[in-house]
Amino acid sequence: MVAARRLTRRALLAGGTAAASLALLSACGATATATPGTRGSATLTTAPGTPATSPSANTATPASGPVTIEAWIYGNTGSDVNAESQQTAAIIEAFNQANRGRIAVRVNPIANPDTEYQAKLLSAAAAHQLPDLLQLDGPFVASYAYSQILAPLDAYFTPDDLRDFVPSIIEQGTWQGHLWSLGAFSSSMGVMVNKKLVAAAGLTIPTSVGAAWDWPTFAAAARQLTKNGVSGLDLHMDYGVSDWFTYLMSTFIWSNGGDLLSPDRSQADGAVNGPAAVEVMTEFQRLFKEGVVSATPDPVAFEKGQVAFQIIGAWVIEGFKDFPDLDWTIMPLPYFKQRVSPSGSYAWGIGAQGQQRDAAAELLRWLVATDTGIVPIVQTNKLPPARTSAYPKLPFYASLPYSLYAEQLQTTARARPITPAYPVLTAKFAQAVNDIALGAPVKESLDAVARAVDDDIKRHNGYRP
Amino acid sequence: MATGPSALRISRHAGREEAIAGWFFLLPALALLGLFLVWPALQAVLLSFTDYQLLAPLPTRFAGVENYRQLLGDATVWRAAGTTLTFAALAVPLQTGLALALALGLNQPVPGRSLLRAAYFCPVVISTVVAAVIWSYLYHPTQGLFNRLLTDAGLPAQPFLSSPRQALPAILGIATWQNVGFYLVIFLAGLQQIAPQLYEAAAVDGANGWQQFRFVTVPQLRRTTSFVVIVATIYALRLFTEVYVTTKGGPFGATRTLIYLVWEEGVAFRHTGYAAALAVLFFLLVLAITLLQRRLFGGERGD
Repeated sequence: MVAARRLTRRALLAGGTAAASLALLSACGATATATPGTRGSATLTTAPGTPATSPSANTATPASGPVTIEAWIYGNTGSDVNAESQQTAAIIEAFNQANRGRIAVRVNPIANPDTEYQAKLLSAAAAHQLPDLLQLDGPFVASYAYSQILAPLDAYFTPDDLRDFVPSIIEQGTWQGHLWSLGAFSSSMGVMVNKKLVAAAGLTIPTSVGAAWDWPTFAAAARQLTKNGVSGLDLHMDYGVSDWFTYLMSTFIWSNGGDLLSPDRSQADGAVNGPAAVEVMTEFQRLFKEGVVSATPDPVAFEKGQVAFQIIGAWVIEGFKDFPDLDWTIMPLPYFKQRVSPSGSYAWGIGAQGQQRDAAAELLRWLVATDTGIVPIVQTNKLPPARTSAYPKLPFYASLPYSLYAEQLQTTARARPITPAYPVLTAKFAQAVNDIALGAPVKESLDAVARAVDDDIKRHNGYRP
Repeated sequence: MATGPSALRISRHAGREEAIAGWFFLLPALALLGLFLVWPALQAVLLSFTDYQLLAPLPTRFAGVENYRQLLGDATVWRAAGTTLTFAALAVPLQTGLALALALGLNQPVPGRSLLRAAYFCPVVISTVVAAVIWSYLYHPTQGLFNRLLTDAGLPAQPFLSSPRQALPAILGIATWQNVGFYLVIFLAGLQQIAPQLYEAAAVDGANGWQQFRFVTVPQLRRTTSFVVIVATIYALRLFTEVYVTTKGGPFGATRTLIYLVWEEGVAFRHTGYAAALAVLFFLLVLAITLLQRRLFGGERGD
């Protein structure tokens, strides 16, 4: 999810026709890195001194040498995601060093955006070629668990181990009473504020969740600031139809007392097209129609000072450094009826088909341990740590803007709907959000989402195990 | 015709040996075709009669015509079929006409002819994904080149891919830009096979340029045109990549084609049986249209 988003942004940054040659090059690059076989050949790191034997050869004789396992990680061609991917590989390399002679991990970075990674994972599962450990996108956990791509983690973590994790990360990884995934970091969303524009309007910006604006206050401010070529609000609609739209809008539907699924998650009809959701989407559509927010924005409109507020996640902050003139701050999300924030990000799971689950679990523990996994990765990607004990070790999380994410995660965060129907739900809902932004009738668009999701649930006998 | 009597003259034994050799040489091609074309196609047909869903821990059951019943009653399918046929109805005349016009131009001794030919063929070589990405920049409502040109000329900016009315024509622009070069090359080959004597004779008979085109070029190009039209139709009906890259079937489902629907149901949602039924139906549609076109273009010189 995050990766796809960043790639889009990167690509769009290049802008206009000048990007043509660049796109050509980067597309060629993507093909070139994706072409080599998925198993082993794209290996980034191999433990020193490990003979290049296949994993199956090692499983037959575990006593004679180190156990070799394979890990799939998100690797991407966008340079900021590359940094995260390379850091993940480095963390695994440190694991290899610490376990020399015992476990050797082969890292396979899948150099593709999100949807292609998922497609690759599904074909690997169908062909019984799943890796031992895999990075995955949080909201898809239930779908993967249902499809028997993941093995449960219950045996590897005691309740005591789990107490340190922020609740929404456990929620994201749990389905049918079992834990299927754990991540090192989560995500959150806030309102980026252009200080100059907002100060000129005489508005005071709240800095804590308790002081957050309610929706009417926020919408009025956004409308007031929409003038002289400035938009009041930006929602990064340029990311395109993707999980971002679900992440963004589900938050406000929750805040309005609604949800995307019924409380028992057995149907979407009455929830995703229920009164609370329709009300929120109608409200947003009004802002689109009035020109307060653009359905086809300049990807860096906020950075250029053409937007007063931008609702977005922490992942854009690093990019702000390229715009020294931008004077910005952050404020908590506005709320309809209750204060809610989104959460979730890439997480780790153990492949259900692997023969070396114990070794994979050891690596997973390393990746989500505070010192070996979380601190190094969060220093790179700046996303909110998934464990409470990591916060004191990452000093920048003690002050704004990052402290706000921490506060939201600990007080108001929710995970996206846990359901094996999530792939259908997010695809259809994101499509509806895009259509509504462009002026489609709200209720009909959401009805279509409900129909598709309920059809999928019905096809799977209600997703009962 | 020529092989018949000569084969008879050779001894029966040698004839059979030759036949065996023939089959032997055909074998690799047949095996590959069977393995990668016929067998998967048959499997798709079989799957379309089941409720199979990829990776679902559910037993696969024979579902009879349930998938077909469902998809025929699905408004989305009918809408996608309409979109697909509309696209083909626009794309085929446009692309064929444009390719023919360009081929006629490039068949004249214009300066830089080979350079131009190469230039027109360039888009064919580019990956469709790359082409679609580049075009989505050009079409961008606020940042794109086209709207820049429009506003510079004092015309109103257009939403292009983000408008339900303009999205399909915008995609038609991408597909045309990419495919015309291919049809152009086929037309050029066809034009160069027309004997110059025919034009000389027509000129002697007093035919003007238009008459030469109408009564020499067009009839002589009939088989070439038939080929181009059939290929262009199949390509147009298969529209997917441009949609996947630029609009994901939107806005308001205005660019959701049948193949996009097959992808969405089969790959994204893993409703494999249902998607297989859709694919079978799509196959029958393409087959019917192609046969119809062959009939229309057929005649004494048809193969």
